[in-house]
Amino acid sequence: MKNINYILLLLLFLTYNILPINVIAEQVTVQPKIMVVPFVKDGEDIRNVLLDDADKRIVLTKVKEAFDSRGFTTVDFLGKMKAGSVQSGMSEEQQSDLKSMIIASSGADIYVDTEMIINRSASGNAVKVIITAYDISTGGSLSNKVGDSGKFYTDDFGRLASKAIESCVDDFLNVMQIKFNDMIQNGKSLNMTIGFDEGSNYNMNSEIGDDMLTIADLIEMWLEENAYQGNFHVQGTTATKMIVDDVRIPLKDSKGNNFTVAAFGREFAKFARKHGLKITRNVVNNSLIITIS
Amino acid sequence: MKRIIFLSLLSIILGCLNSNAQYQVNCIDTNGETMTFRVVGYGKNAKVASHNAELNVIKALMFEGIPNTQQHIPMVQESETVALDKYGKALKNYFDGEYQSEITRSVIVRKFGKDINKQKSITLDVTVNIRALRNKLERIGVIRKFGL
Repeated sequence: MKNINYILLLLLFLTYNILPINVIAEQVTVQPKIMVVPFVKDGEDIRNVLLDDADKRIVLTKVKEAFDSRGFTTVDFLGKMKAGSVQSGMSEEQQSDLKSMIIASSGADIYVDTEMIINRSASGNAVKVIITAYDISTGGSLSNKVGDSGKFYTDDFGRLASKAIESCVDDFLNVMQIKFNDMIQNGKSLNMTIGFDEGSNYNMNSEIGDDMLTIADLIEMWLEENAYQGNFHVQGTTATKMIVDDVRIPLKDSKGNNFTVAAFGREFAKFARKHGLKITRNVVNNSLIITIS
Repeated sequence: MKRIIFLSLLSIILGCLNSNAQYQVNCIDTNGETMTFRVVGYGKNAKVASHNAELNVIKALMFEGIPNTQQHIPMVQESETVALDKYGKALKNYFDGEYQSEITRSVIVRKFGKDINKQKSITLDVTVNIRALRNKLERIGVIRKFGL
């Protein structure tokens, strides 16, 4: 009996003191590439915005420096802009699209839109920066902050920009990481629109298959099975359209490769074919548009 | 048998005592990568109280975040109890003394003595290298590196 007591005591000691150790597994993370881009108003020529305003170039460089100094891989927007303009020989009229073209072809995963507001006054100069990070693949906002340098009697706007950025960059990155953690746990978000061709014999209420379920029911059942952890939200269904404003898909497939919106569309095509439906698919950023013929 | 039940209960109670209360930490200065905090530490002597004060700063940054600063979001997602269960020895070793490499300065503001509640305590200004702390926690696997 005494021995059993000792064994039990030993077990209790192990449970509370020794067992919960060394559970540290190597956490593999893929560091995203970040590109800092200037904010432009509608109709503004992004090239003129940067080339005519040295202060904006300074702020852009300072924001980039803030990421570089934290060890992140950054893509140089100015360099990309010059290369993009030369390669495509873009005319003035096409410049408004230059920003999105550069973003799309940059190879960056995240772009950080940067707006700078310079405040000159008799009591000192100040710089405010508004930074917003977007996931390029989904277009979703990841983080946004406003940094303020405070007022100083100086014309060194680079220094003021640095102060403004330093006042918010850690918080900005912390929020971004929370969004990443959410993606890891709950999957990436995309939206799906399912509609019908004008001449289609089907609509959402058409009953198909052996169970004679409506197409809308079958799609919802498919989403229950295929959305990551069954996470999806149907915004609305009519006879001709179903809008799914949030479907979660995994970050990686079973082989560890990126699971893309197109891959999710492919899975949907297999499901449609199984039920004798012909579909066409279009992928625009994080939107999957399905048309049933 | 009674003894076993008593010991089991005692062990469970001791396990539960790991969960910590509030950390009396206020940020008084930030300077790029470092932040300075005014903190109160309790203990039977000055050495223990100082250790507790410094640890309070580290734990507040890790598990609660410091309001009105850039570090208002806790560095570690899990609560202290869950993290201690999950990362066990690595975190225990860190709290036992390794944390001091992230503290760049520790200055006594109020000498060790009894406070208004008759509790023995000390008040320190503790400066922490935030980036080094983050890197250390990444290295020992308590938090993820930036990214997906």
